[in-house]
Amino acid sequence: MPNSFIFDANRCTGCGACQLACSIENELGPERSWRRIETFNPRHHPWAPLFHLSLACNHCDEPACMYACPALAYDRDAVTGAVLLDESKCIGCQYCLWACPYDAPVFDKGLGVMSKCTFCNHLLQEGLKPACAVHCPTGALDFADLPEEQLVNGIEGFPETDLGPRIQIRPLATGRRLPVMTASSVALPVTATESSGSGISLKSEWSLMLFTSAAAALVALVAGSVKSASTINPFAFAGAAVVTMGLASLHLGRLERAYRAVLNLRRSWLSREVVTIPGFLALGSLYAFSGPSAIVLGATATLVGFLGLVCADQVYSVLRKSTPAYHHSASVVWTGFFLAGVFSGTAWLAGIFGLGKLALYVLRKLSFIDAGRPVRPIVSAARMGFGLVLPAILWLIDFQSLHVYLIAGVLIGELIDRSEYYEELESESPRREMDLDLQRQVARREPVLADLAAS
Amino acid sequence: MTVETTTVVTTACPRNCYSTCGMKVHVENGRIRRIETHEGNRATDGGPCLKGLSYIERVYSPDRVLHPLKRKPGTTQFERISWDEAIETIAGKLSELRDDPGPQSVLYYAASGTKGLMNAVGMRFWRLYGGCTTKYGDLCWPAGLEATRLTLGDNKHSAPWDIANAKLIVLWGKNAAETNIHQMKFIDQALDAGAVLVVIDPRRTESSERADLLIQPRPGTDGALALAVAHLLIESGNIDEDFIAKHVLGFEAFASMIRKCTPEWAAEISDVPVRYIEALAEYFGTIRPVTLSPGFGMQRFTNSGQTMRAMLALLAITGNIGVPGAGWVYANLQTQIFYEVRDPMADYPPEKPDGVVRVSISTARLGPEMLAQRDPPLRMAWVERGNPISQNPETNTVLEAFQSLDFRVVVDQFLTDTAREADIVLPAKTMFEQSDVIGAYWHAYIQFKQKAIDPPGEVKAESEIYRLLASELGLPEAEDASLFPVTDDEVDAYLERALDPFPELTLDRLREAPVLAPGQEDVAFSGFVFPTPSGKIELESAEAVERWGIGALPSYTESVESVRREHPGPGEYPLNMLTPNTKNRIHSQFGNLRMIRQFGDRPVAVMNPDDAAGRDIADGDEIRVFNQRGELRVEVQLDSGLKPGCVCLTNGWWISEGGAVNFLSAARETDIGYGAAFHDNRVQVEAVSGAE
Repeated sequence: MPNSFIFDANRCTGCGACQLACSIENELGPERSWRRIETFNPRHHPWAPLFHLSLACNHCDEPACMYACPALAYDRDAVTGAVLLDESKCIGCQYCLWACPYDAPVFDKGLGVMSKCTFCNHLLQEGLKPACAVHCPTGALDFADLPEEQLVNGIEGFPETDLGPRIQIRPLATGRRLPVMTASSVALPVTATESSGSGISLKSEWSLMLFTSAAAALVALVAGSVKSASTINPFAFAGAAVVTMGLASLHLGRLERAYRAVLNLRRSWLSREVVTIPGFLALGSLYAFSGPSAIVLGATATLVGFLGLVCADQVYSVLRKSTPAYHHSASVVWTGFFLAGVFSGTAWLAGIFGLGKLALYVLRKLSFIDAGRPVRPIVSAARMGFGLVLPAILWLIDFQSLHVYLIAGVLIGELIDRSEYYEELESESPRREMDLDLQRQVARREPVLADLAAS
Repeated sequence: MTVETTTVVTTACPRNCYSTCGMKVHVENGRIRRIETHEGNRATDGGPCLKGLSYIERVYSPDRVLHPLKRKPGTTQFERISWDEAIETIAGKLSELRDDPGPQSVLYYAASGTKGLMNAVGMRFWRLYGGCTTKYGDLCWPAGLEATRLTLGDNKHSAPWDIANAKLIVLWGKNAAETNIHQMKFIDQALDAGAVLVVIDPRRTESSERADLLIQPRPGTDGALALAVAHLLIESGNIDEDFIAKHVLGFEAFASMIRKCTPEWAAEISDVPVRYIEALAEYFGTIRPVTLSPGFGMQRFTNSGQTMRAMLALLAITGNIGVPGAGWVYANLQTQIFYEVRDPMADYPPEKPDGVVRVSISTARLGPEMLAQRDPPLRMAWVERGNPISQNPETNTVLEAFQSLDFRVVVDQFLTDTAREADIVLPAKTMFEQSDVIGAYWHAYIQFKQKAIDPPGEVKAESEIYRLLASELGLPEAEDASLFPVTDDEVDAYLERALDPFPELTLDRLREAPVLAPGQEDVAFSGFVFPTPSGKIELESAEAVERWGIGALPSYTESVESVRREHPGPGEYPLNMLTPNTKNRIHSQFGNLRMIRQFGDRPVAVMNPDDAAGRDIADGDEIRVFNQRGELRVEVQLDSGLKPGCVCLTNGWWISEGGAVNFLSAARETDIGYGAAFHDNRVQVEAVSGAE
C-alpha cells in the first residue's frame, strides 16, 4: 500500500514543530522548510472556525510538477512513492510551482533552483517515518501506508484536484463545537492580509509578458511579410530575436542549464515552447536575411512561429484555476493573427481578429462585473480605445499615411491586454483557497456560533 | 576518511514550562544533530515543541556568549576578556564589598531560567562568601500555589493523562495549545470520548476552538464568576453533600456568604451574560467527573489568591477531588522530593532571619525594593538564570535600580536586556553541557538532564565559576568537589548523593529513561488525605486570616487596577492589558532565534476592532500603548476574538525589539503568596500620528 501523510485538522494547534523538524532533518537552515502552516481565519472572525493546515508535498499519484518540469528534474522513487526533485538538474524556471496546486516546491533564490519535500525518503528507506510526522506533539500529523479509498482530503484551503495527493485529511468533525463567545460580534472585515493570494502577477511575470508579446509580434511580422511580400530589416529582426530570448531567460534561476529545458517534449508545454519559439526566431532571422523571395522559408517560419504561439498559450494550461488561454482576448495565437493582419494591411484578417478580440474582451469584463471582480474601467477604455477603435478609425481614414499611428495604437492595446492577462492569472494555492473560503463564509453571515439564548 | 560517531543521549528540557519534555539527543561527531522525544515520558511522548527543536540553533547560535565579556567603560559595548581577568575582577570587588559595607550589599538574583539540583551550588557559594541579599516570592504562580495549599493542604494533581477521563474540562485562564501543548493530546482524547470543554479566557484561542463554551470575562473578575457558579450549584442542590460532610470544612459559612453572589451580581462585575454563567453552572452541576485546569496568568492580580480559592470551592462542593478524571490541575509538585519545604513556602522569607542571607526583596517589587535597601544598601548584583530587567514588573524602576549599583555580573547564554546592563557577562552553559537531575510541575517524572556535548568556546558551568571564585577568594571549601562539582564524574557523584535517599532513583536508571517520583499518586488525593490544619478541604481557612490578612472564606474584591469599560474615570487608563505567554517563547527565552522568529519577528498588539475604531486606529497602524509607568510603540493587529476593552501583547519581547511589556506593569504583590500582580495593568492606546 502506498505511503501517505495523515493530518487531523481537529488536533493541529499550528505549533510549528513539524515545520522545524523538516528544517532540521533535511538541514535546510533555520528559516527554510519544505513544510509550512497555513491558518484559516487568523483574525478570529466570529462566523468562521479557526484551524490550521500543515502542508508539504503530497507526493501525488499524478504529480503535476513532474509532468510540467521541462528539464526532467523530477523522478519518483518506485519503492517509497516519493516524488523527488534532483536539484542538480533543475533550471530554476519555477514552472513546477505553477503546476502544483499545493505550493509544495520552494524556490531557493540563493541557489536559483527549486527544492521540495522528499517524504524524508532517506528515513523511509530505513523503515522510519518522515521527521514532520514523528515530531508532531499533538498527534495531528502522522504517516502510514493507507489504501486508496482512505485518502479523503476535503477541507477548506486544500485544493480539490484529480492528482491523487497522498494525504488523508481528517476535516473538522461534523458537529464540531465552536465556542459560544461573549465578546463583541462586530466583525473585522476580511482584510487584505487575509485575502491576499499567492502566486502570479504582472509584477512577478513582467518579463514573460514582454517575451510572449514580442514573440507574437515577430511571428506576425514574418507572417505579414510572407503575405504581402514586404522586406524585413534583417538586423532589426535578429536584434529583436536576441532581446526576446533574453527576456525569456530572465525567468531561469540557472541559465547555464537552459539546454535542459527541451528535455520533456513528451509532457511539458514549456519544453515544446522552448523548442518552437527559438526555432521560429532562427528561421525568421534566416528569412529576413534572405528576403521575401524565400517563400518556403518564410512559410515554414510562420508555421513554426504559430506552433510556438500555441505552445506559449498552452504553457498556462497548468494553471487550472485560470480561464483557458483561447477564451482570452490576449491569447498570443489570436494576437499573432491580428497583428499579421495589421502589419500587412490585410483588412479582413485584422477585422475578424480585431472584432473577435473586442468581443472576448467585453464579455470577460462583463463576467467580472457579475463576479464582483475589479473591472479597471480606465484600463479597459484605453485597451479598447487605443488598441481597437482608434486603429479602426485611422484605417478607414487612410491606412497608408496613418499606419504608423495605427500600429502604435494596436501595440499599446495589446500590451495592456496581455498585462491584464498576467494580472488575472490564478494559480491554485492553499493560502488563496483559504482566503476565498473565508470570504464566502463571512459573506454568508451564517451564525456558525449558536447563541446560548437560543438553546 | 572520517569515522562518524553517533551517540543517542537521554535528557530532558529544564525550562520553566509545564511539559519538561523527555528527550533523546542524537550527537554526531560531538555536534547535536537531532532532538526527539523520549517515549519513556508518557506525558510528552508526542515530541518536543518548536522551542525544544530550536535548541539545535540555540546551542550553536552565532549570538551566543562564548567568552567572558567586560563592558567598555562609559559605553554599551563589550570586549572579550580572559577568565583570569573576569574572576580576579569579580573576586576583587567581592572582597572589597565584604569588608565595606558588608556581604549583604551584594544582591544574588537567580530566577527560573533553568531547573535542576545543580542550581543549589549558587547559594552555597554566597553563604561561604559571607552572605548576600536575596529575594522572596516568585513572579509566576504563588497566589495559586498558596490558595491550593490553604485549601487542599498540598500542591499536587493527578497524572497528566488522567484528564482524558474527565467528562467536563474547564480550562480557566489557560491556553494549553500554546503553553502546555502536550496537555492538548489528553484533552483531545477526552473530547473524542464525548467530554465537554469550557474555556474561560478573554481571548479566542486554539484551545477554545473545540470548546462548547468560551466565556470571556473582564480580566481580574474570575473570582466573581466562580462564586456565582457556586451560588447556582448550591441553590440548585447540584452539590455532593456526602463529600462535603466528610471532607470539606466551612461549607455552611461559605454557602451563607455567597447567598448574595447571584449570577446577576457576577454578570455586572465580569461583563459575562447571566446565561453563560448559568450554562457553566449547569455543566458543573450535572457532569461528573470535572477537571478544572487553571492557568497562571489569571492569578497575577491583586485579588487572585481569593479568586483561586473560589475556583477550588467549585470542585470541593461538587466532590470532584480524589477520583479519576476529576481534580484541580494547577501545579503538580510531586517531584519536589529533594527539598524539605515545597513551593510556595520554599520561596517565603524565613520566619527567623539567620543574619547571613538577607531575604528582604519581594520579587514582585524588585526595582523599588532594590533602591530602598539600607544597612547596607545594595552595591552589586549577581544575576543568573534570569532576565529581571525585562521580566520583572515596572521595567523602568528595575532598570534604574540596576543602573544605580556599582557593579553587576550577569551569567547568561545571550546578551539579554539584563546582560546588556552588566559590567561583566559570564558565558552560561546550555542544558546539553552539564548533567543535572530535574523535576517537573505538571507530570511527576524525575529526569536526568544528561550532558550531551562539551561546552563550546570558553563556556563554564556555574559550579565551576563559583569554584574559581571561591578559590580566588581563598575560601578553603574551594577544593571540595562535593560542594563545587566540576568534572563530569564530580557532577555525577554530586547527583548520586542527592538521589541516595531514594532507592528507586539511580543515575544508571535515569540514564535510560525518566522515572516517576517515589510515592507519586496517579490520582491525586485518592486517599482523601488533606494535609491542612483540619485534615479537610478548607473552604474556611484560619491560616488565610493569620498569614495574609484576607477573609477566612473566598470572596471577591475588585483588583487594584480593575477597570469597568463603561465607566473609566476622567484621565484614567481604560483598557486591560493582557500579557500572555506564547508558544514561541518561554518568557524572554528563544525569541532571538531565527527558527522562532519566522513565526513572528516583531511585537504586535492585538485589539478588538471596536476599540480600534473608536480610536481611529486601522489594522497595521503603529500605536502607542501607555500608562503612568511607561509606554511601548508597536504595530496593531485587529482581532475579532479578543474581548473589547482589552489589548493584548505577548510577554517576553526584548527591550531592543520595542515590546518589553513590563514597562507598563506595576511592581505590586498578589494578595497571598508573595506573587507578582503584574497582570493588574491598565493602559490607554492611541494612534501614533504621522505613522504613515
